[in-house]
Amino acid sequence: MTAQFSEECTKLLNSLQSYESLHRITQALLAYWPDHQRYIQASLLSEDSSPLERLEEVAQYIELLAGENLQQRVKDYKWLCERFREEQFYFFRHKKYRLSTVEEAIEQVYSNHEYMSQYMSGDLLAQIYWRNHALSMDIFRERFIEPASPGARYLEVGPGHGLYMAFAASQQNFISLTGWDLSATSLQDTKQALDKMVSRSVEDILLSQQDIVNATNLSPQFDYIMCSEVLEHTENPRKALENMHACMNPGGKLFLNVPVNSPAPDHIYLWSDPDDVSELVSQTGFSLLYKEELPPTGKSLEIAKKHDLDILCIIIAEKNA
Amino acid sequence: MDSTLNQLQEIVREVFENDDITLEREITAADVDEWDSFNHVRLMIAIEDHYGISFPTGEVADLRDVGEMVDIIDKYSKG
Repeated sequence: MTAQFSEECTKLLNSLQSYESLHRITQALLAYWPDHQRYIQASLLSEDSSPLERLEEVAQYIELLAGENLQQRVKDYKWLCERFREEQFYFFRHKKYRLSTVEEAIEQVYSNHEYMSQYMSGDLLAQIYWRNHALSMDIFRERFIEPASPGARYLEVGPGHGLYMAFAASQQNFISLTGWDLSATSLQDTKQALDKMVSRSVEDILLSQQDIVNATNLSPQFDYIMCSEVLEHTENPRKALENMHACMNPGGKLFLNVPVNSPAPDHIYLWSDPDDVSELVSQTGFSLLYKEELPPTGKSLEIAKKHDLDILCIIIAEKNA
Repeated sequence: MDSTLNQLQEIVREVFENDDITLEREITAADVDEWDSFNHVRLMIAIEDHYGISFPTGEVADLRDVGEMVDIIDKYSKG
């Protein structure tokens, strides 16, 4: 049965006609969740939205990952939005995140496999429909991996859904790609995702278990280190940054995406101000090359800061000599 | 105007920073430009603070219209 769309939904979908994957995913989402139309409109079709051409490339990867299960991904995305809203209620009431330790996150979130499956599944569509997440991906591609030096060695800390790593793998300038994660299960998911997305031999991609906070005996080996939405999951982001510094070659570059005032089911370290992030980066031996503060969909940076709404702090930095 | 509706209108105007908003029971979030998911959470917290009450999150995350909001305020503020 064909979904009947409102006039606004139809207009939105017509705007996406030239972007086949983006159109298909949006159509499936609006059929299931028509009330989300206004939010999607603000995310995709505002002046400061990610270019639709770029979103289409992300959408193509997501369709590869979703396969026959796009409908389930759509349901999981709505579920994810509802979980995030619950965390927002807690955050605005108590001015803190619900969890504060890795142990709590393991007990309440990571050990619940069904919950984690929905969470990771829903998170994929957030890379398109949450404007600041989409813009983070654009900055990563345009300012970090596309200008990377030929023959460089790339490390991603916490590759998760694999989208960032897939784009890195599609660049020919990296001679090797490595992914580290605390969780063997998460690395398995990343590998399965990369198998679907990446045409380059996945033998070139080394995924291994490594705890970036507690790692020892690290030596310089990577030229580009990427760490997106990881530090807020650690109890000691300073140590994590020091370890990234330790395994980076002289002149190496760091890409960070750190959510500020961003309540989520498994966020434990509360960053209240983007300046705290850049300050820590400088203190751990890096020089800032680029910084951007990305407010959420439909909000200006001024409003986001006024009301402590979530901001993604994007930093590109260079290892000090 | 119903007392609760009147008070709610004042709170909405303050939270959404728009003195032109006029509420009726039939009004939904779709009718008010400022009423997005972030502002809905901020609004419910402001209502809690105003009345000194605490809503179960599950009951206020998805309210259909202003009428439902008024009813739930009355439920928890008047006991």
